[in-house]
Amino acid sequence: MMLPYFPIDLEKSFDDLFEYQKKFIHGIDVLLNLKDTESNKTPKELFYKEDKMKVFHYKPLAKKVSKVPTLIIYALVNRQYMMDIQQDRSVIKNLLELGLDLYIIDWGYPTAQDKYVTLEDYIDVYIENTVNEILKRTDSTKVNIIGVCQGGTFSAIYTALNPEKVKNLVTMVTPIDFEAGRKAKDGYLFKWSKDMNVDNLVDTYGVIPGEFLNGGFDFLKPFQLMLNKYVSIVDNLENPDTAANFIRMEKWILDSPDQSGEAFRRFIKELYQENRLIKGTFDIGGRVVDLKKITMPVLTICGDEDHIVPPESTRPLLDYVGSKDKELVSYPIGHIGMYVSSKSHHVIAPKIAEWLLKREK
Amino acid sequence: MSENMDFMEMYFENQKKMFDYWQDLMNVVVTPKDKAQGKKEEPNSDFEESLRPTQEMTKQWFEFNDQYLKNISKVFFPLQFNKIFSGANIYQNLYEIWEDLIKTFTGKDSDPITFCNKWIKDYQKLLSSNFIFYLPEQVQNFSKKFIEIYSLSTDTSQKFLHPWLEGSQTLQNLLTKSITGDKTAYIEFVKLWNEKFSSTYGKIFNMPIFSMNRELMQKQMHSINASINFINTMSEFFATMAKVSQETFEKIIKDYQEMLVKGNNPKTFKEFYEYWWKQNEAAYHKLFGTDEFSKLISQVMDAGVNFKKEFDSLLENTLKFLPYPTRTDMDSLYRTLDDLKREVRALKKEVIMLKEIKANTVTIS
Repeated sequence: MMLPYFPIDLEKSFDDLFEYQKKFIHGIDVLLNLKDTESNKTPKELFYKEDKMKVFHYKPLAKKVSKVPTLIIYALVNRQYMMDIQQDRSVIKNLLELGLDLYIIDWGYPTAQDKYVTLEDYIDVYIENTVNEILKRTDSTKVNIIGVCQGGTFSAIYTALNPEKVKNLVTMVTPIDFEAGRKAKDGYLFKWSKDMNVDNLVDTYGVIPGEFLNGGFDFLKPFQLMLNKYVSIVDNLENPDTAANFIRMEKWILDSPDQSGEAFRRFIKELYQENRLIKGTFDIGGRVVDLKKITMPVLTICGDEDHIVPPESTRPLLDYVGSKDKELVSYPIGHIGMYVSSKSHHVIAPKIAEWLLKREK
Repeated sequence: MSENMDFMEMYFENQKKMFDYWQDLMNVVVTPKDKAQGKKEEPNSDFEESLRPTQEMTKQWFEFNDQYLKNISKVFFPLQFNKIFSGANIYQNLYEIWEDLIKTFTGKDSDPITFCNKWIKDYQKLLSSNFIFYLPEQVQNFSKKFIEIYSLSTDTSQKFLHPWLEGSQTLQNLLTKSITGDKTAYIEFVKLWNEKFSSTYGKIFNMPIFSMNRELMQKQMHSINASINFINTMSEFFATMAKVSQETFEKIIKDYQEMLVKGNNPKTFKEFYEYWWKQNEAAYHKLFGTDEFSKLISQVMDAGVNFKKEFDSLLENTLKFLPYPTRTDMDSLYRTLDDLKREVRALKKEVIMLKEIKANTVTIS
């Protein structure tokens, strides 16, 4: 029913509103009776532990399992179980079924006493000891590394410093060229961090609250992430599976560990602000990180719609590494969609598994 | 007697002068030359010009009276005359100051700072050169010292308030504009206000403090200053955000009206909601990409961090007499723990290495 002098469909508008109210009430009922909202359910066992870091080994799910162990290095921001958010869309489960032998680092939750943990500790101690332990216990000479987001930056740094221990390197939505990220259309985090007084922040807080980072991420798309997400979910809340998935994602988004101050200081200052990795002036424990020393096969994956790590900051890795076998793959998805979308299940995970298995020999 | 004679002589002299002035005045209005040229005896067409001779005469008349009274006062009741004379002076000087005041605040090119400077100086001069005269001699010196100190303190106050005086006009204009709906003006107003505050009252909170409770008081002051700075920065931030929101809303209304005319408007509320939030998101993204916003968001963060830092420090100082470890105590402990952890890690590595060497040695032997 259109109003004669005012072209608005009033009847449909009312119908929509009533429908929304009905869905909302049903949705509340569904939420009250949700049972399974857990993530991180793919079977695994504790493999190694050091300080707050835990390394898990997933139980293989394929008949034929890769002989080269693959270590997933996740970011310090948020938690690694995003890759195993729900069983029907688990990147981890998918990779296991496709034949990979997977290990994953869980960085844990830094507390006040971890304020002095440095980037050297993360790369030269925790990652180094994990890799050594995997090599020792699997009797291997090399590992594959899949680096995710900031974990990808750590992976590239570790690999450049220890190329003899890494067989293949995969980086996913990984910031490498921070200046390029700043110039990208959606590179707000890169832009905002340029003027940030990180010294004052770290000196005052010691350990940077996870809420601080979460607030920053939400602010990148204020209407979409703080309003529309909660308005539009009502349309699908009647479906218990959709409701459960939504709750899992919400739990994961808000599960944001605090950041060790000293590591955060250097990451922001020397990488986000000074772009030292690309300039070749970044060092770990006095050893300069030269990306040219990465000579093994490299696969770089980026999301065309990634607003957290724009593809502009990810792609340049391939220009700086010394590898001859290198490949760039990009998908029309965002940062989170890389791990939880149907594309991640049907396209991305198979691509990674296939690429690694092909280079096993 | 000679004084009396002098006075009489001067009196006649002044009378004569008085007639001369009068004659001159008439000559200015209509000169003999004008008469010769047949010019009619009409009042000067330029009113101000026509007043000038009168003003000149009045001025000279005052000067004459001044001389006259001074001379009289030398002869009769010198003290009383002098006091009357000074009283008139004060009245006249005060009138001049008032006149300046009126000119300053009504003139097109009014300059409040120059006026204030002049006013203070004139007023002090007025006090020191006129009023003191009425005081008993013993107190006069004391009063002069007092005025000196007063002068010093007004100088300091003036220096302190200078940024406000300097920006008062701009602040007033910006506020007026923002009240009438200019959103940029409000942001500029907040920015300027913050600037003026930091360079004036803000300094008070960072002033060195003495006495036994110096540390606590200093921390309190710093904490208050940091909270004010934080609130000010947040005001600027929210004003910037609100500006985008308002502008976007105005744009949405305008575009919606145009769409209504063309018939391509969102037909239901749901469609309108979609259109509304996407327009807003796009507007904020435009703001987020600017260097100004980048700087502003860093300022907000820094101001918030500074406030926390100062407040934490104040809390620690307040709690230090209670039997609880403070954050500083814990930090020291964490540092020791971290050092020890690193040492243990290095020693462990060394032990493993030594064990390996020993094992290899045994195998070889």
